[in-house]
Amino acid sequence: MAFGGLIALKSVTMDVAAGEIRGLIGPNGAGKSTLFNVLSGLNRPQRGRVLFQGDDLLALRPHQVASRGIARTFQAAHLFRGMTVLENVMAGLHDRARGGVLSSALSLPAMRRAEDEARVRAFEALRFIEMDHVRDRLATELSYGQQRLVEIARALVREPTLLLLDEPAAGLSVARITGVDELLRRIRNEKGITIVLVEHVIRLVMGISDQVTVLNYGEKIAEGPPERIREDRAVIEAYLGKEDAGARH
Amino acid sequence: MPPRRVVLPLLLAVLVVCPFVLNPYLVFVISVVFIYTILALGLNLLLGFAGQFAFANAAFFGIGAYATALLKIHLGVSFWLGLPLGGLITAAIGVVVGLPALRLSGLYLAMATLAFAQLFQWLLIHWPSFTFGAGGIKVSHPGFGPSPFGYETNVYFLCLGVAVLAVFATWNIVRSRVGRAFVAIRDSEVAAQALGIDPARYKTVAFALSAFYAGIAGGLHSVLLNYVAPEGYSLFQMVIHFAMVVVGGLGSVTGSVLGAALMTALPEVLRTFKSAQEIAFGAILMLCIIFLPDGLYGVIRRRLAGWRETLHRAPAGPASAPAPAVVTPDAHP
Repeated sequence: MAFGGLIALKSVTMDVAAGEIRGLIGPNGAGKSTLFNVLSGLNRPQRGRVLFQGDDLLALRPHQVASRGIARTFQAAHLFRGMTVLENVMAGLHDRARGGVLSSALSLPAMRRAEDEARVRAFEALRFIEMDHVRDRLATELSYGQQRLVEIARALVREPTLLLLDEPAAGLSVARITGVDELLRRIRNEKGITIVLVEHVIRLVMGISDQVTVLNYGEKIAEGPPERIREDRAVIEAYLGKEDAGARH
Repeated sequence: MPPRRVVLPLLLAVLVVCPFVLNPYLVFVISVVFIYTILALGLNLLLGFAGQFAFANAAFFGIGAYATALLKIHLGVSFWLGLPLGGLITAAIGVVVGLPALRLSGLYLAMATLAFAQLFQWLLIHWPSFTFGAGGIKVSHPGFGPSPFGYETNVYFLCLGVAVLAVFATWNIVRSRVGRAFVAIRDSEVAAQALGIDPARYKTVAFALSAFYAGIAGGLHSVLLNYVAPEGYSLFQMVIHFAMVVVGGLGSVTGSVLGAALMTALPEVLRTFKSAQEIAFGAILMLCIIFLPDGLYGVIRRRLAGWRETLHRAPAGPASAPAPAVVTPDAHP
């Protein structure tokens, strides 16, 4: 994946098994978010393939990738400012219902039933992350950390096969980071959703990932279970070269 | 009981009585308010909800007016068929005008649509064999069948009926998945895509929809004035449309109605200022924008608890019980 002359990702191969929690780490600019954008169809690489359940996703547009069962969150929370929290989560069910302009304008019974159902499911998704008490607040009235959680609920309501989380712990207090840890486990264990996680809080990644992939300058420099990554020389050098050693603990 | 449930039926009752107690001039002015309400609702769907900065609304208004009039003149299509056909023709043109929106946004989209609006003006004037040129067209009265009222009263009720339909349709659309898709592409296109919303599709839908509203409004305008002419659908008209939705409130159904009423009434009231009319009009617009940044709807939302236009509030009352969203916030740990 290159932008003009800048090569953001180069021959990265990654194989994620169903039901896995995969950590994706690397110093700033390593290409983690670009990889997410490639996986969700926002950036199209010049070469390579993205296979999901046997299908190549690169021919699809972003909304089609989403409809295949890949949900994601963004590095900076992208909630819809003009909607309440509940409406934001209901928007997550967009392609899970039918009904165009005419049936909406006439508010046909089938449309109203679908709306009621969407409301119920959105409410349950909010309850799953324990945020149902703020459902009627405007998205912009929430704290940054809360907005990020609501974004996760909006992705979860889609019942995706694969969930891409871009720094879910950013903006959270130390106390809440422990909660994220538990939330991610519940998402995988109770809902059976495969998770790929970009995160700078290394302790969080090492604690919950089955496998960790490390990127640096757009290339994969290491991959394996957390305990092996912790000892990997290339990884330690990449981090010590860029950031202070404290980031690792 | 939400205040809407009281205010709206009362307002409707007053409006039904109006043509029988007011003088013909006021009946005409209120008919114009109805037509502008339809215009403002359509423009608000595109600009306020879907966030598409387009300058073609006055041209769509004119296309609807001309389509209805020309269908009658060239093909002998009656007004009653010509009105919906005019709306559909305008919607089709709206889809084409919306095509640049799939690539352009912001000021570039504004420029592209502005160019279209100017081209439309030019065509009206320079294609007299089809459009009858700058002189315009006299539109004959459509028949109103068994109605016992006079022509002006019939047109008044027609405009009222269509405006009420437009308000309800818009209200339902913005609360539906379609309305959420509009707001989603306005607020964050990438997030919308991540939820399976196709921005290209909903931008096109928004353009078609707002053009349809404007086209219907144009058809009504042609029989209200019994006359269509190019200057009625010029850039100045576009400014009025913008003022309606901005002063009324972007992204608000209530705001569309209030904006339409204010922008129609204001020039009439300001006639007493004679030569200072336009200066006073501009001054009031500027004051509105400075002191009411979220429009007249913003004032209502703050002053009248319960008027807030939540896009999708849980159904009120026990009749539609299954939604647990009506459970009180504190009922959960």
